[in-house]
Amino acid sequence: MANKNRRNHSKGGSTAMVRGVALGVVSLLLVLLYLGISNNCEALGRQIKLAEQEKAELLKQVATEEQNWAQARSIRNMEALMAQYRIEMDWPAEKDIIRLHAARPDRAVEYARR
Amino acid sequence: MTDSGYRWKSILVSLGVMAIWLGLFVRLGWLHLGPNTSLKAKVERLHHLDMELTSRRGRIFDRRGNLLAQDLPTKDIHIDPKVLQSNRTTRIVSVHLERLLGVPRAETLARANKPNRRDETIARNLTDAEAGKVLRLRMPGVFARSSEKRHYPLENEACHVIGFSNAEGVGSAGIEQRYDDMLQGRSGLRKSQRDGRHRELYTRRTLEILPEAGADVHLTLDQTIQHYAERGMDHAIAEYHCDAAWTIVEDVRTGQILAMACRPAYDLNAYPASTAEQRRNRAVSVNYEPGSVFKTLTVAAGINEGLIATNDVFDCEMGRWTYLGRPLKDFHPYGELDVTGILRKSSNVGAAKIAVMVGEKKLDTYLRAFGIGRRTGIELPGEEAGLLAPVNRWSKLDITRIAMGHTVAVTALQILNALCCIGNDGILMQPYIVSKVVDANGTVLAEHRPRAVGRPITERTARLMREMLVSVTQPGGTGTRAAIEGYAIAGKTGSAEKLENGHYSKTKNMASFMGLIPADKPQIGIVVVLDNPHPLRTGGVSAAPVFRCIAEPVVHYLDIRPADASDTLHYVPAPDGEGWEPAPEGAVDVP
Repeated sequence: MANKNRRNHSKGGSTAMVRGVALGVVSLLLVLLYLGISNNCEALGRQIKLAEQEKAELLKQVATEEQNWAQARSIRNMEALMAQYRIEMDWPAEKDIIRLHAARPDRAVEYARR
Repeated sequence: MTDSGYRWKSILVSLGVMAIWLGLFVRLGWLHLGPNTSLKAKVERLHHLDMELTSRRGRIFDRRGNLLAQDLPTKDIHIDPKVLQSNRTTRIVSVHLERLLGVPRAETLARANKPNRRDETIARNLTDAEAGKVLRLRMPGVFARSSEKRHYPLENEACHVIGFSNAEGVGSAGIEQRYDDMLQGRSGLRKSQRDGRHRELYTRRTLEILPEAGADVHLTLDQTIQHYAERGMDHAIAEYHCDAAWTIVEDVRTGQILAMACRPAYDLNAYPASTAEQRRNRAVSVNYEPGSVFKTLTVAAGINEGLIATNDVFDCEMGRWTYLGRPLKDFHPYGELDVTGILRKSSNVGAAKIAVMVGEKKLDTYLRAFGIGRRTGIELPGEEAGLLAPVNRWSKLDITRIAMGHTVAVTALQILNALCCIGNDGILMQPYIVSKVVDANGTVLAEHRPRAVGRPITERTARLMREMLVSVTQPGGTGTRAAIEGYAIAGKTGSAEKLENGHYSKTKNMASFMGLIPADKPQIGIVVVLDNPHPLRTGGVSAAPVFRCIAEPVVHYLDIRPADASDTLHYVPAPDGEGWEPAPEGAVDVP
């Protein structure tokens, strides 16, 4: 009887130990998984923040370039540049103008396109 | 010392150390596990981050998509007085800032002389290049912060139309003021936490409401035509020494305002330095007696009523006509003039006689139908309605004075719109300057389309009026200086004595000229008003040349063909697809 009890006891102990180890391993895996996801999130967060900063910076650059472009192509600027380089321009007389016209649209083709 | 004594002392020290550690652990446990509401709130406050995400104010564009106003990223230069003082670099920093930014040395020294301050602004709204010059020197205690500034690339051009938004970002003049609620974006909100170095912890964000950029306003103005108008105004001030000048260019068929310029003007990027007089948009906010340009409406009323024909002859009494015991004089004496001659020579007597034939009630009806005495409704703040007394309050003499543009006041926009009505075959259009408002997603929030508001005269009357008005700019007319070679211009001069302290000045005039180009199929109408030009005082010799100065480049720019454009070479693509060949006679232009 005593032997039997001893044998049963040792079998129960090893099972508990296996369960404990398994629980430990699962817990460890969960912790590692949590840490992995957390790190991944942190990394993504950092990337998003960098992207946000980059976007803000690019928007500023776009605004600045739009501003430069607007100023560069204004007639006021062009006149100033022409004066700077002593370029004088005048409108052409009507007789000096050659007007190029698009071909007259074919009515049937136009109708078919509708 | 005995062994037992030593042992007891060791035990006591150990117990003391253990008690301290135990106390620390208990405190630590208490801090973490206990309620500690006030402490937790304090920590919460330290970590809490409520960040307002600023929105971009909407932009303003002209009709071709050219930028007229936008928020521009800038940099502000700051100093840290505490660092400067501890490093003893205040003097050298002030020298550099004066050299690079033009900040007076005394100002930097005064600002740096505040040892308890950590942040003093030295210069605002610098470009990246300007700020870069300072930052490249890597001076300890000198740093930059990002900022934004409303910027206007055209500076003083179209300043009265565009207006400006003040330092708080609130529109305070012009379109910036009228469309402030649409231009203003909606700020966003971010709720998050920050670390000990005040950096946001992205993973702790709990709320993120993105900002909405303000809507963009698209104007009917054309930057190039505006430039010509501005140049015309500069010419007016330089050549005719007037106190003020204003002009409007309108699309006859649609009522769109293509340009609106005034002098004095101001730089929108430096609006705080401007005066109220400089900021006044005279084109819509000054009521003035129009003088002879008003005869156009009087004669149009007479013709439309069928009371007069263009060749009917009137006795202009050699320049002096007594009506109800009061004399009415012409600038030059004329005998008999037909209706065309009355307009060409600008006879007051002739116009007054036509008005008397039309009668008070009908004249009043016509003038109101032309939009005189009421606001046009243009989308600009401060528009005046002009002054036209109710007909039952007219004195018996008033009809002869109103006929020639006295005892009545108009704005330049009103009188130009009335002229454009004549150019538009008698259909009065609603003038407008904003074509559409588009939000950041491209949704059109508001769109203005050409709108007819009435038809005071028939198409025939309008055509006859244009034919008669052409004679004004032809030899023998009062507006010959407005003429442009090759173009028929229907126009009218105006010169009215200025009202000063209730009396007409004998030395100061309001001189004006308004015209339609080309006269047969008008595309644009232009009005020029000069306040007190001297020594040349009349509209024909001062405003008419300014009109020409503006109109001549505009007709080329808009490719308005001369009346006789037969010598223009027209080519169409060759049938085989290679090269071009002269267009057959009667070929229709394909846009």
